[in-house]
Amino acid sequence: MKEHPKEHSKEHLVKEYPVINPDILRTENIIKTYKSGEIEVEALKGVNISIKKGEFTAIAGPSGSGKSTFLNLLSGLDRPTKGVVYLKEKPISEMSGNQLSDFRRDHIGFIFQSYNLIPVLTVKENIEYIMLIQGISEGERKKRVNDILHAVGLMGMEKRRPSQLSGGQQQRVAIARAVVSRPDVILADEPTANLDSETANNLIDMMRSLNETKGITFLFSTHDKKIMDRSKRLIILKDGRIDSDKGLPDQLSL
Amino acid sequence: MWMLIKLAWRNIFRNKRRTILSGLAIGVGLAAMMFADALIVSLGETMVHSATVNFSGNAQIHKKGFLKDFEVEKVIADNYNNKLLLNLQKEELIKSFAPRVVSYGMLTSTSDANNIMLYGIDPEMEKKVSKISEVIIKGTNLDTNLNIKESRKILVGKKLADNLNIDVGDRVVVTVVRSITGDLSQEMFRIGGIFSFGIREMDENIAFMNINVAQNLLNIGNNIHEIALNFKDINIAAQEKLPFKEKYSQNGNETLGWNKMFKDLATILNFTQFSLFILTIILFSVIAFGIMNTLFMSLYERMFEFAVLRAVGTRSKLVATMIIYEALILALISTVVGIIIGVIFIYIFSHQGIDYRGIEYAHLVFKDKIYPHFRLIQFIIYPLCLIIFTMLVGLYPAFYAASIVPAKALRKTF
Repeated sequence: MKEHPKEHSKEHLVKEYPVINPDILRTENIIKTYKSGEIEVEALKGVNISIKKGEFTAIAGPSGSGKSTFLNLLSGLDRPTKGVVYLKEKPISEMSGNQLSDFRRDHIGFIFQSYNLIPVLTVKENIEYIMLIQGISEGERKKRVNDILHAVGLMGMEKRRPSQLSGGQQQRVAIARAVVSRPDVILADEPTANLDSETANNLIDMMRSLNETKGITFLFSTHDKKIMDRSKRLIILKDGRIDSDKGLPDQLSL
Repeated sequence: MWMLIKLAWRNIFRNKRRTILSGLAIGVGLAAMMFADALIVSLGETMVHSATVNFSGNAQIHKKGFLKDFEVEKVIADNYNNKLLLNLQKEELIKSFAPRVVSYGMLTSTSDANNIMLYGIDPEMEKKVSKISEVIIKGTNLDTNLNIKESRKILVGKKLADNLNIDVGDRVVVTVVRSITGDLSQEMFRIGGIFSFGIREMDENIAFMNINVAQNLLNIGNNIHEIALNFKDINIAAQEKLPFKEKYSQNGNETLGWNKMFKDLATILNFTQFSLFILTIILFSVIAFGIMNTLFMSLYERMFEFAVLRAVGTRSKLVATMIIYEALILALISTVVGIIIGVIFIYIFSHQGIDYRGIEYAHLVFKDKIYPHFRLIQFIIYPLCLIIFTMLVGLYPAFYAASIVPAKALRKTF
């Protein structure tokens, strides 16, 4: 597992020479069609969107509106039938299987509705996993794990297994796992759906704080009004198309 | 890699009961293979021992072609003044040997006559090679160091004695064809003893007399037809390219191991080895399906996890490697279990023995218990095969797990 060099150098360039905030993710007229026997279902019907660094965006919409399909395509878990998905202007649709794996490893963080931690690994090992496959050194991993455990309020729980944690704590670990590898964007699928209201609020606060203090880009698929209210941008999908896009930032501060 | 091994180890023990049961099942399979090997090898050795220990020795020297027609003239070459016998005394590989004279003949009693295979033997030397002295059930063994006129004893098998209606002390006439002249020679002997090897062919057709008497009867001087040998290590006897055999197969002589003397037995042993091979394949196949079943059960329970691993950037090759590690860990655990069970069973039966006595198989009657014994192959080849086989079998589930499409498996979530 070799360390994957990341493009951190761009950050100081941006600080020295203010430029227009570039797109992290951009879709170009993407269409996704599923076949079910003889029937073809068009889940996405030409979606154009661009996500910039530092966004805290929620994608909402009724069931069947295409949210899941859209996130799958943005994360490289699935390929569009037509159209292109760009990450930092690189078309990910043309990547091979291994390139896509590396792309997800290095550029995308995932937060799942059901947390989806690896049950046989401890909190620390779950958080560390992606860094391990990135080939990050032990010292660096240890430092990052400590930092993130502190940030998500899980200090002292690093040796616990997921089954020994509450739902909220598990989702904190999932957030820590997504954040710690320093991806360009974190895709979160209904992250508060399985949590009680108070825990959900705390988590939203935490993610918002990470967004504001560390500039981490979040993209949610959600039904949760609390997330929609706290998001900087709200995209509504309906019948495979963007129905509305409120709070579209021209230039988000870094 | 360490993380993958850790993951594989913990995954294997995620369902302890299933792992223990699978490990036991595979381990018992390995133990069965080890035990079958120990038993079949011991069975083969016992058969060879039974075939050779009674009379033949585990190798023999003859004039080439002698065993085809038993011609009286085909005496062992290059044995002037017992030169060959003296040389054999110096051979380090040889435990014991005995010279013999062999000829077809006829034994006639007052009531009947029977074709026989007449053996002239040295009773003292035979004690170290064959069991003649131990199987005499009536009368006594041949006397030693008697001159020809005094030595008129002959030993016959029990069935031959029954057929000819003779007993110890009865007089019989032996008829043979004399060397060179081809004349018939007849001499009268007294039954000195009756033997029973428990092998029908031997008890019905063989008669023994002193070697010097037989040499005189056959008119072959001091020549001999056969030297029965026992090697210190019986397995050497079957080796084809043995310098010893080359050395004693010159000037028209030939040295035959038991595998050439008893071709049927050699064939049966080869067949037994082949049966062991078939048994091994069957057991390995059963084990293979057991492993595959365990891995797939474990795999189906974790499809979602594999999808998550793939989603967060784990390459499919790493997922496959993890499954292979799981198979390897299961194989190692099963191997340890199998070796322990196998050692216990082989140890017990190597001391208790398995009672095959009295059973006739391939014209041989087992006289001793069979004692399965340990061989290095049981602890190296079979476990190694199991581990390699398990990893090969693990390739299919590994490939299956690696080919999971994360989007499909995660569809419930995204």
